[in-house]
Amino acid sequence: MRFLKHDKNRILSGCIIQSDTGEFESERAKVCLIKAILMFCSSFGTIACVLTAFSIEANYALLIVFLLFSALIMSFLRYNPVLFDLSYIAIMFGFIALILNNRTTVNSGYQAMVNIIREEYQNYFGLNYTNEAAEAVSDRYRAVTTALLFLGFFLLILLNLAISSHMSVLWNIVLTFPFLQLGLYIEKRPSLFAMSILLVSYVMTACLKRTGHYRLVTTGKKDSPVMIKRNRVSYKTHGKTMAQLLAWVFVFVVAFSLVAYPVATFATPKQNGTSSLKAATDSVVENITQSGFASLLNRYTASGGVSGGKLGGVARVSADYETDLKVTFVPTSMETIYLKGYTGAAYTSTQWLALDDDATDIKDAAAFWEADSISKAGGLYGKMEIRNIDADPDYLYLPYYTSADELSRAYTIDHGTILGRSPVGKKYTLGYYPYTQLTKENESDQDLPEGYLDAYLEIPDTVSDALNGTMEKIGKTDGINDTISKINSYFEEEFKYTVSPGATPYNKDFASYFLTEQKKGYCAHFATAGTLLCRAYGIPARYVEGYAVSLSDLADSTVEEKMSVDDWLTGENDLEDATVVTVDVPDANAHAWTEIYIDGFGWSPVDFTPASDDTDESEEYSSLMSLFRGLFSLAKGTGEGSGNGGNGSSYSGSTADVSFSDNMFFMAPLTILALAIILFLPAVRFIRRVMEKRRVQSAYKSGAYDEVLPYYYNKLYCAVNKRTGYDMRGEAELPRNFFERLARLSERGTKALQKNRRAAEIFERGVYGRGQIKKEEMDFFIKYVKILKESDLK
Amino acid sequence: MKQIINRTIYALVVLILLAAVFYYRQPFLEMLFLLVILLPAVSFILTKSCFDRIDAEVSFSSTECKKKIPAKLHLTMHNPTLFPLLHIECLLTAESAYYKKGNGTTYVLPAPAYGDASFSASVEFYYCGCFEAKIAELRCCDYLYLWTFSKPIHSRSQIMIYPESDIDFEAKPVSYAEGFDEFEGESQRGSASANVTDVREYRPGDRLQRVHWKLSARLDKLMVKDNEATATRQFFVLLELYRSDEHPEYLDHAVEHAYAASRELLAHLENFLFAFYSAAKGEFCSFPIHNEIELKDALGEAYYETPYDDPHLGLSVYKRSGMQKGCLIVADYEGVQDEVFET
Repeated sequence: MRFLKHDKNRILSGCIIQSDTGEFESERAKVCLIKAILMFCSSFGTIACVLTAFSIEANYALLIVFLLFSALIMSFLRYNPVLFDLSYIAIMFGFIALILNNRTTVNSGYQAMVNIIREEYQNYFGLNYTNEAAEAVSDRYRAVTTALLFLGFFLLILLNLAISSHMSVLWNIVLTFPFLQLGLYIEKRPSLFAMSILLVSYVMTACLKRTGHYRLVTTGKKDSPVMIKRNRVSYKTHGKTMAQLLAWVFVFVVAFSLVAYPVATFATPKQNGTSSLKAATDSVVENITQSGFASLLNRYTASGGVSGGKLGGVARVSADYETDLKVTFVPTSMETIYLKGYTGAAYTSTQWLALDDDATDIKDAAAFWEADSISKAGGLYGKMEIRNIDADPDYLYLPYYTSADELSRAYTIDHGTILGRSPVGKKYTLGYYPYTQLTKENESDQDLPEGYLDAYLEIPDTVSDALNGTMEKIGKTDGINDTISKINSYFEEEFKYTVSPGATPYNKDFASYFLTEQKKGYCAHFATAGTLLCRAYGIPARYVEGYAVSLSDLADSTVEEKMSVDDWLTGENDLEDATVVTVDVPDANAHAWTEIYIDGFGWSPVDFTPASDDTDESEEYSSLMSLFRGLFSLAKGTGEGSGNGGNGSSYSGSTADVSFSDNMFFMAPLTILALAIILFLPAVRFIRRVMEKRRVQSAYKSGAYDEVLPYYYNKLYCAVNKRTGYDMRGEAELPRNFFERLARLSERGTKALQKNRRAAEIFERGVYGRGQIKKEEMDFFIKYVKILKESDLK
Repeated sequence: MKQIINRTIYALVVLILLAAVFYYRQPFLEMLFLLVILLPAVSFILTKSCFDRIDAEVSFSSTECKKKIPAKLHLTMHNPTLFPLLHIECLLTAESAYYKKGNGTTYVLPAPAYGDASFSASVEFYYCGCFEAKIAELRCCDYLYLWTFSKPIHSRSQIMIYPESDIDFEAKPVSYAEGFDEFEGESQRGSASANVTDVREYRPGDRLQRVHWKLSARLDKLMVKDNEATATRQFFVLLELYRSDEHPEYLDHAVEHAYAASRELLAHLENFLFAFYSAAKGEFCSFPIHNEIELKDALGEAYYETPYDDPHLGLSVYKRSGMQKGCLIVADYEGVQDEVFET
């Protein structure tokens, strides 16, 4: 019956090797010990890297002893599978119980580390204010050490699965590298010692995993020291070999670190600069540092378009660049055309609301005034056709100074604003007064109803402190123009435009958070802050959302050649060659701005959003190739040094030219070392050849032909065998046999080979015999070798 | 395949790390990248230099063994260098000239620095013959399993597998019985000494009846009377070395039969000739057998011969040779047949 277990081939061969009952000394205890050391290196190395990078003080001795002891226990638990199953559950419960028992200290230590790390991040990003977690235990040293003991132990529990069971390099890195990255991201270097320990763990696990000899032979009765798969018997582990390898890996890594670390640090971070991709992710990390992970989530849709006055719920605006509106009209100036959709008058902490119906008594007057005042002086009157492709249908999108009488859709007027709906796919036409500038000629003398502007001067208490603080920084102003100018300047200098500012924390006032902490945002942030600041300076203002059609959009417009300008515009147009055009307005053109009320001129748009010097990251890294480019290109502001404090350090510097030489400088030490490694072996080989040739030449001159002959014989042997395809890896061929083989080859017609008998005789006499050979014979042999090397052997 | 996967993984790691280096532009990652670049080169150099000096040895714990009784086979790696190697493969084959070559088994063993690692397995033999365990090649993978090295090696160990001792041999051919009876009769009458051709020293296994007591007393050492034939007829055991590819057990049966017949002869006779036809040499090889040791030696010689395809080649050549005399006992896979040739 045993025959049935084996393949027929073996039966025919007459014997069977019973490998499954073979004996092999695995040295299980040593294997467990080495795995424990690896786990310790991984866990302690990770913790030490964080501690040294952030200069966090903790009891290292206690950490080492505790982690090493824990690693040993966990590793040796695997000695017996039953013991492991039972004990691991007990350890888990024990761990949880201990954490619960010491939760105050552990939590305090954790908070302390978070505070320290966050402080470093604040310094790096130049943030002025962040939340600091409360520490319940005043003795930070004790609290941090306790927290690290638990953290290290938890890491060991996971590493025991990753390393002891699977020897997985990937999991080892996944579990440890995120901690390491905390420091790396903000250029905090771990110590050489900590780093080396961690690297030992990485390299050793890689070696053991790749070769596959890490599976512990347990004490189970059926466990075999070998694995058998088909005709292959492979040992599982061998303690002695593993221990020796670990020792060598340790020596190698430490030696390498000692040599390479100074070389690598030759290119300092300042010279290295920052990749533009990292600069892009910096904003995300900055958001997390400032507002936590919740700031990464959009609380409502953020794909562009009008939001109906909602504020602070968008972490990142992700426009799809699809057309929302198609607008047909005759351009009358190079100025941006604002298509107003939503008007917010009352500010809450999270939204701009339209005024309620209590103010209806003034609406008709305001509506009349808005259109009438302009019609008196402008002289131009245009027609516009707007088709809603994908914009929010709850709003009518209208240019400034629309004449409600010619609006082709149903509408109402509320607080001087025309309200209505624009269903998707439908178009509507309207008449409007293209408005270029405020001049004395188009000033109106109409009086407003009493109390009309009060609602546009209201400031909620939640934002008043922030506004006062900001006004102190801006200083006193003189008139509307000066106020607007100073607010604009302040925003441009102190704030940053970004489409990914992060969501405003739930418990924060949108405008206050923006003005005091966040200091970056997109149009809604600037429009809100600008509106409230105007109100604070006594200028009636309101918040508006809609679409902005800029000059660049006009450049990409479609000319409607069949349409007559006269049908679309009356009056004298400053743009003499203007034709009827249709502009595609994408969702990225959605915008928010401020309207201020100017006596005699009515509501005028003011845009407080500063110009952005960097492009939209979503566009920049929308493809794999752009990500790749982002990796290898330097960020703007390179060389200015990030983390210098101030405002968003990384972004504040001047734009640097990203050139190949910049990258090469960064890569210089790396390139030199890589080249040195690559060239090392060929160089050694070349030097050895040169040295050998010099030695042979010297021997030739001194008449020591017995040293010269083997050199030429070897050259001939290699050349002939290479050309004839003779396998040189087998048993060494005797010179006599080689010459006999050459003689057989000579029968094929190479004349030079016919002299091989004499050459063989010279060689044997010169090398093995006592008889000295003459110089003529030596010369003959050398010439013979040269001829043979050049001959056509097959 | 594993090597290709490992190389792909390595290339991916290098790419990811390169991306990380350019992303962070941190010395630590540059170092890590350098380390990853350097590791294969270091691994290659160390493994190559170490592997060139590594040796493997295969040996059976004994030189002979009975069929179906397991024998110990030791496989040892010798590493005289400072560096350990984790993964050394050696293709071990155990084969006999009598039977088809097996595929062999690949053993993966470590080679600890300045030491040996050995694996012992038991080998069970199902047929008789001379089996040779051999390692022809060593293969080695580097520490990262990116490179493979190989070198020829010539380590071998032989073991002779003899038939079981307790084979029940029942063949009692007429001539065999006749010859035996005749010899026994003469021996009892004391006339057997008439056939004495030589006197030699005692060898273990010689029967006490053959001791020349007088001469032994004179020389002070045991001497025995040797004769050309133990009986009126010379006994001649011919082993047919016929091999059938379809039935490898035939040759084994023939050996068993020859061995059993020889042992039976030894139990009753002084000596006989054990012979087989060597197809390679084209001649008969015969060995005078006086005891079990000589029988094993003769069988051992037969184990080295190349079997032939004709089931009765030995017998037919013998008949054609004109050297027929005595009693021929032919052992083949069917059993034992005898034939008496009168001079």
